[in-house]
Amino acid sequence: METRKSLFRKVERAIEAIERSPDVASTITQTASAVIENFREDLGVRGGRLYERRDGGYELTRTFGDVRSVDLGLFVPDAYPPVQRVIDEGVVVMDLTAPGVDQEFEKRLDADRFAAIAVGDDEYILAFTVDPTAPDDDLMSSLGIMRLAVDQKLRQNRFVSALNEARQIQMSILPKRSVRRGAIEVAGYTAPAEIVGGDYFDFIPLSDRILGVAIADASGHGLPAALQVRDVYTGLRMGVERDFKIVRTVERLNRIINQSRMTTRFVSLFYGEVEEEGNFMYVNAGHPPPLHFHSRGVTMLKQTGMVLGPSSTATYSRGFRLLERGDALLMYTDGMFEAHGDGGNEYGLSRLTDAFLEIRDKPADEIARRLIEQVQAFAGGGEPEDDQTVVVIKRGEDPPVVPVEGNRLTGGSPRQTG
Amino acid sequence: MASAGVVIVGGGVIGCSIAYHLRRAGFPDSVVIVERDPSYRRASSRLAFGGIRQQYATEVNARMAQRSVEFYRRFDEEMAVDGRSANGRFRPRGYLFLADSENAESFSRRFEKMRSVGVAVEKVARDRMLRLVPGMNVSDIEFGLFGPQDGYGDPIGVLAGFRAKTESLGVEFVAGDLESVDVRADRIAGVRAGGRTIATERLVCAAGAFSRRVGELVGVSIPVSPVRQQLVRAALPRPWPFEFPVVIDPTGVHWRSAEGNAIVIAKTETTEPEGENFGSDPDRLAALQPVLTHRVPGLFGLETVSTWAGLYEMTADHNGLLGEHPERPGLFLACGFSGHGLMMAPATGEILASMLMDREPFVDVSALSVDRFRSGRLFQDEAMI
Ligand SMILES: Cc1cc2nc3c(=O)[nH]c(=O)nc-3n(C[C@H](O)[C@H](O)[C@H](O)COP(=O)(O)OP(=O)(O)OC[C@H]3O[C@@H](n4cnc5c(N)ncnc54)[C@H](O)[C@@H]3O)c2cc1C
Repeated sequence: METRKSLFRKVERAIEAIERSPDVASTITQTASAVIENFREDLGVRGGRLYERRDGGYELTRTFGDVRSVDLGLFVPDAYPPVQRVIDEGVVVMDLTAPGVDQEFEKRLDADRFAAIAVGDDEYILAFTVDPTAPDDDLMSSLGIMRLAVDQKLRQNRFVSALNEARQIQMSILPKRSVRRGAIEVAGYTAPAEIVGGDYFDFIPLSDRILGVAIADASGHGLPAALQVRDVYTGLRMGVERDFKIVRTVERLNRIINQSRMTTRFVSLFYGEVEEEGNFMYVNAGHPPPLHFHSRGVTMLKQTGMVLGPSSTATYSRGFRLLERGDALLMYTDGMFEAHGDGGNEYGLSRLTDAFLEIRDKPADEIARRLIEQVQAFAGGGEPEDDQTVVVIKRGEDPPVVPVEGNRLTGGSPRQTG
Repeated sequence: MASAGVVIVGGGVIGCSIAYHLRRAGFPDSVVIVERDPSYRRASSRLAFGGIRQQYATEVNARMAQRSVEFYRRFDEEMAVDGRSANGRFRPRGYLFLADSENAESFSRRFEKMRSVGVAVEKVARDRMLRLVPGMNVSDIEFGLFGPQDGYGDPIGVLAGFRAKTESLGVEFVAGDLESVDVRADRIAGVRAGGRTIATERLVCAAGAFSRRVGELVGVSIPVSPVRQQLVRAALPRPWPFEFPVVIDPTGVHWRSAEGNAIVIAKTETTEPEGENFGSDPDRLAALQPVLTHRVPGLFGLETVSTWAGLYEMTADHNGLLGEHPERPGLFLACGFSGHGLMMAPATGEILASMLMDREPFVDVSALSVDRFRSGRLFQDEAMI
């Protein structure tokens, strides 16, 4: 169980390396290196070979890790059965006893047992020499995931222009300025990690007294995340504007995301409606719980449900809060507390609340902007590791009052005495 | 230019208590308190846990604590203004320290010391502990140290009571910062605060965790550091049939009952860095919950109501700083109680009032002089937590 988990953590790490690569050549190189580096121990991967498509077959163009490189330029015809199998199945694990394997040939390559993936619309085959005892299942699933990631990345590289377009769509989605409803002030800010981020927030005017406020995080980055965010944006707006039942809207949105063909992953969403008098009603679909700052400290809004996407039948329930004068709600995405500083420690929720308390008297939009600046300063500047988004809802305050605090005791008589 | 017999920086429980005791003892001149934060948003007094105990292992601390516990017992009447009593709500539910095999020996030593300085404390066996806290898991506990007269109060009520009473006695509050201090021939001559200039020969530092900065204004060292302490208020999973004493688990997690079928929980973190940090981890309960359910299985299912943080005013040996500063005649220190200032406030007020009126305090506090840090003779009290 533990080793499984650690294996998948390694898969994730390898995928991250792939996702960071800037072009086709380095995507392939980084995939191969990441596989060898991360799976050497668990799966006995010793080295790899890259074959590129030529007329009628594949040519060995590069080697990685611990393999002989003397055979560069070697040509393998399409008709060679293992090549056909890897093209058909995408991922294969084979040894010398598999049907159609040319034992002489493979022995010359020192490949008694090997695993291979076809990527980039079969333009490339990556073959790895593996340990005879490495479990088939683990090899197949790890490499299978890697293959999808590489394909996605390669496709993405080809779609940079489409991506820019997506970015423009996304920028047009995000609210440009803060919004007011009576003494309620709402502002948000986002700092995307990549060209297009998976974070989004929205303010939806429902009446002159009520405002809808959403924050969401589509897992992953890039084009798929951006497109999914657009689905959430449209679905939510259409839903809440037509139907006042927020639970029903979120459940419907979940079904839309679930059926969307793009859903390799999922979206977390927090949606709430705030009234001028401070009433706040919300539904949470797996989003990090917002923080309620009040005169007695800070409280998490814990009512929550499943993220949007994985289950078409997920159900949700509402939570309520009253925002008193001087109270504030802070919504955020995980990039706001998972940022790492010098020495590798996380920014964390307590730093986030500290930063908020320092500036809680400022206007909402200034708070939002400064909170992001603080996280980025903590992380030492540069591109954020993940999107960072905050939304602040503030209810205006009267002049300072004599404190009333909640750690007050009852006068009730106890039954037990000391 | 205005003048005052005494100017006190800091209008928390310590500053108010000093002013109150000065008035009560018949101090002939005016008393001014400088307090920059009238809503007390960042005052430790307002943010405290509320524990009040006399279990200390040195004579001076034990006598001060005993004096204070007595004071808190009559607090609500004594602080009444216009016939309306205060709401300090001191509850003598007791303080129960739990000793496991690892700390049994040091707790036994501490017990002997406490007895020798006259503290009301009992060594209690498992059956008695179970009567004090029904449902508690005592399988890994050797014995408990129980202070039957100890307990807890409501910090807000205590602060509000002190403040209202002092104001009613004619103490003037200046709402503003202490901006500068006029020092002539090494002595205090006056202050500037909240845009006003006040001549005075006696300045008291009761600025809690912010005391070091007062020292900087006066040009002497006041070795007090701010260190964050986080608290959690959690709703009990079902109507609870009794009020807890303050229970101190061997892990350092401690809690007490609170209004609305809830408990307030704390744990002092020895690794907490210095700094004026007020952020609290809204999910802190998750880290404390395993200890709580191990100790009292019925606490499974606690739900966070809120978390908050305030500053401890730490000194190197965790004991207070009391008395006139040896390098700056006229500057009196009443700070550095290192997380115990709420319970020490009544005695501190009384002692400072005596000192400011050139009288003998009810207990010898020379051991708490700031001098100890210069001479390297730190003052140790084994019952400090
Ligand atoms: C979370 C927590 C739990 C605690 N639990 C307990 C407990 O259970 N029992 C216990 O006995 N103690 C406890 N304490 C410690 C206790 O709260 C303090 O020791 C005590 O409140 C100190 O009182 P004070 O008046 O000196 O400080 P404060 O209440 O902090 O008051 C100092 C005041 O001085 C003002 N001030 C400071 N500098 C200036 C300046 N330059 N100009 C103008 N004004 C200034 C500040 O605004 C502040 O209001 C706890 C503390 C914390 C933070």
